Amino acid sequence: MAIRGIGVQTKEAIDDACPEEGFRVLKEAGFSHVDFSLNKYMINKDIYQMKNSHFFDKSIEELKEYFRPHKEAAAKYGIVIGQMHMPYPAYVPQGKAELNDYLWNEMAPKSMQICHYLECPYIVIHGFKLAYFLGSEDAEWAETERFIHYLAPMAKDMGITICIENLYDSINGHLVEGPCCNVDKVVKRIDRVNEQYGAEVLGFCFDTGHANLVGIDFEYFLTRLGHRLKVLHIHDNDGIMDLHQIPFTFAKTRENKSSTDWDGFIKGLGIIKFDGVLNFETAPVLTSFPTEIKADVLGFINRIGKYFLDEIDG
Amino acid sequence: MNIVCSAEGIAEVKRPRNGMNKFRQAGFDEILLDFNMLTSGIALPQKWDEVMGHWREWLEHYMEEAAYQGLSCRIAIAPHFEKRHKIPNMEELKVDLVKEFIQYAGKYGCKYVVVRPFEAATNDKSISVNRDFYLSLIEPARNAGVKILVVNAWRNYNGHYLRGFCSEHVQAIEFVDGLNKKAGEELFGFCLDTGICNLVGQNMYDFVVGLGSRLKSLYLYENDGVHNSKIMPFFAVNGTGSQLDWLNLIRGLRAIRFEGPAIMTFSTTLAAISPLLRQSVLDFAYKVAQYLEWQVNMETTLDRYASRVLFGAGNMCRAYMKCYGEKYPPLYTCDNNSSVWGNEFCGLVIHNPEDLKSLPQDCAVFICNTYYDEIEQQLKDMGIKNPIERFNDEFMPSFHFTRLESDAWKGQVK
Repeated sequence: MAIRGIGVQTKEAIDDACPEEGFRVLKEAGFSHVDFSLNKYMINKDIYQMKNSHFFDKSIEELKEYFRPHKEAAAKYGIVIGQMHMPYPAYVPQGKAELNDYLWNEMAPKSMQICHYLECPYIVIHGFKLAYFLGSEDAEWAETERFIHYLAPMAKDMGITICIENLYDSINGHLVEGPCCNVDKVVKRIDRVNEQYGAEVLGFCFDTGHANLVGIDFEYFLTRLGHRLKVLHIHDNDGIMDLHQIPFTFAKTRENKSSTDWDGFIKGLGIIKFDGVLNFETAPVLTSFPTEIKADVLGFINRIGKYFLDEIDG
Repeated sequence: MNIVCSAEGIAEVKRPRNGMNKFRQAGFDEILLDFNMLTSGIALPQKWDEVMGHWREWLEHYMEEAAYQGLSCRIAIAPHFEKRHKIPNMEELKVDLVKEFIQYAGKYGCKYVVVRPFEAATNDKSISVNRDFYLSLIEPARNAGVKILVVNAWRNYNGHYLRGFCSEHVQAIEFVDGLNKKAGEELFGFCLDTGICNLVGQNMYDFVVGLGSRLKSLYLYENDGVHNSKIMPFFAVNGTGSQLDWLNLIRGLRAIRFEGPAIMTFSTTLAAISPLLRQSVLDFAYKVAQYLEWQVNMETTLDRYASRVLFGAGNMCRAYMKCYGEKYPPLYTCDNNSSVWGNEFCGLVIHNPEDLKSLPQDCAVFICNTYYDEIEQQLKDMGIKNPIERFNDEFMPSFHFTRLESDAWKGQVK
C-alpha cells in the first residue's frame, strides 16, 4: 500500500465566508486531503480561560447547514476531508463544572456528528492532562479512557476512528512529555479498547513537533506503533517551543543540518508501510508569511510532502 | 535515599586536602570516586603523558586523603570520554581504563561503579555495541566485588538531544536483565541520569517505577531542558520555578522506596561562582541534599513508627489524609486553635496539643504545618519525649484539585 495523499489543516487556509476559494487554493497547491480544524470553533486558549464560544449551542441540523458549503467545496475540488481535530481540552482541571459539562455533553458528541457528516474517517482528540493531580500518567489515562468509552459507541456506529495524540506538558516553560508519549503503553491501550468494541474505534495520531520537543526517537516510536498509526500532524520546531513550522526549518549547529530527525520519520513510516495521509499541521506558517505569498507557501509545504512521499514509498 | 555530593570543582586531585576539608565542614561525610576528575585536559598532547603516567598515584593520594578525613566511599564513576574530546584510540583506551579502574573501586570499598555507555549513531547500534562492552566487564566486576551501573544516554542529532541508549525504561529493563542473565547473578543495575531525562523531557515517574529495584543510583542535577549543563537542584529557573520535573521524580522515588546513593553534582553552578563563595555554596548544597533526602524518604519515615499523630488541621493534614491516611492512619490530629478541639477534620478528631502528653512511647508526632521550628519547640517545652517528625505536602503522590484557602478549611470542620 502506498501513501494515500498529502493534506494540510483548514485553519488559516479556509475562510468560512467563502470555503470554496480556500479549497481552490489548496487544490492548486497540490493537496489531496485536508485536516478539518474543528478546534478553531472553540479555541484551546479560550477554554483554558473558561471562555465558552457557544459554537456548539447550534442544533446538529444547524451545524450541518453551517458546514454544508465546506463539504460541497471540498467535493467540488476533489479534496478529501481526511481527518478532523476535535476542540480541546475536553476537560479543564479546576474548571467550572458548567464548562466541563458543555465540553463533554455538547462539544464532543456534536463534533462526532460533524465528523460523520463530513464523511471524515478520523477524529483526533487530546488526552486529559491530569497527572499532576492524580499522581501518574496511568491514573490520568483512566480519565481519558472514560472519555473514549463515552465516544466509542458513537465512533463505532459512524465508522469513525478516534485518534489519541502524543502531547506535551510544561514545567515552568520547559516542555516535557505529556499524555500518550510512551509508545509501549499506547500500543497496549489501543489494542485493548479496540478488542473491547470489536472495531477500530481507537487509533493514533503521531505529532512530529510534539515528539521533537521531548526528544522522542521517531523511528523507534513509529516502528513500535505500527498499524495503529492512522494520522499525522507533521510540523517542525526548535526543540524548545511548539512552533508548528515547516519541516527542515531548524538547525542548531554550524553544519546547518536539520535538528529534527526527519530521516528517522521517513524510515519509521517506511518500515510500518504507512498508507495514510502525510498531513501537515502548519497553520501558524500561514499567518507568519505575508498573505501575498500564502499560496506559494502552501505549494512549498506540499512539495515537502511529495519529498516525504517519494522517500517513504521509494 | 542518601545523597553523595560530587567534589568536582571543590577537591583538587593533586592537592585534595583543602577541598575535602571544606567538603567535610559543610556536613558531607561521603566522597564520590570519580575517575574523570583525574583526566582533565587529557585530549591535549602535553597533558596526555602526565595523566597517563600519574593517574594511579593521584588516585591513591586522593583516596588516602579521603580516608584520613574520615570520608567514606560507596560509589565510583568509571572513565568516560565523548567523541567530541577527540582522544586517540578512545574506545580501546576507555575499555582498558574502565577494567583497571573497577579493581581500584573494589579496593577502596565501593559497592557500585557507574559506567557510561559508548555513543552510537542509532539506538540499535548503541544497544549492540554497549552490550558487548558491558558484558566484557563481568569478570573484572566479579573479581572486584562491585556492581556495574548502566546509565541512560542522549543521542545528539545535529545539536538536538534525542532519547538515546536505554532512554526508554522498557529498553533499560531489557538491557540490564539481559546482562544479569548472562552474568548468572545480579551484577548489573541502573543509574538514572535525571539531567539527561530532563533534556529529553521524560516522565521520570514512569522511568523510576518501571526500573524498580534495578535502580541503584541516580545523578541529581538540573538543566534548563536545552543546554547540557549541571546546575544545582532548584536553580535552573524559569519564571517562578525549576524547569526539572521534581514532582514526578520524587513521586517515583517514593513509590519504589529508593534507598540507594544519589550523586548530586553542580559543576556548572560552581564554575559560575567565585572560589571565595564556594564554601557557602557547599554549605547550601548540604541543605539541599538534606531536603531532597527528607522528601524522598517521607513514606519510609511514616512507615518507621508503629503509630502516629498529626499536629495541624489544615491543608497539609488534608493532603496527608488523602495520600497516606489509609496506609498510615493517625490516631488523631491536634491544633493550637482551641475553637476546633473535639471537632472532626478529614476523618480525624482534633485534639488539644496537651493530649500529646499521654501518647504511647513509640508513637511519633508528625508536624503538618510549615511552622516546624516553632511547633517542635512548643512540643519540647511541653516535655513531649515522643519522636517528632516533619511532614510536608510539596511533593505528594497526588493532589486535591483545589486547596482550602486561608481559613476556608474551617468550614469543612464538622
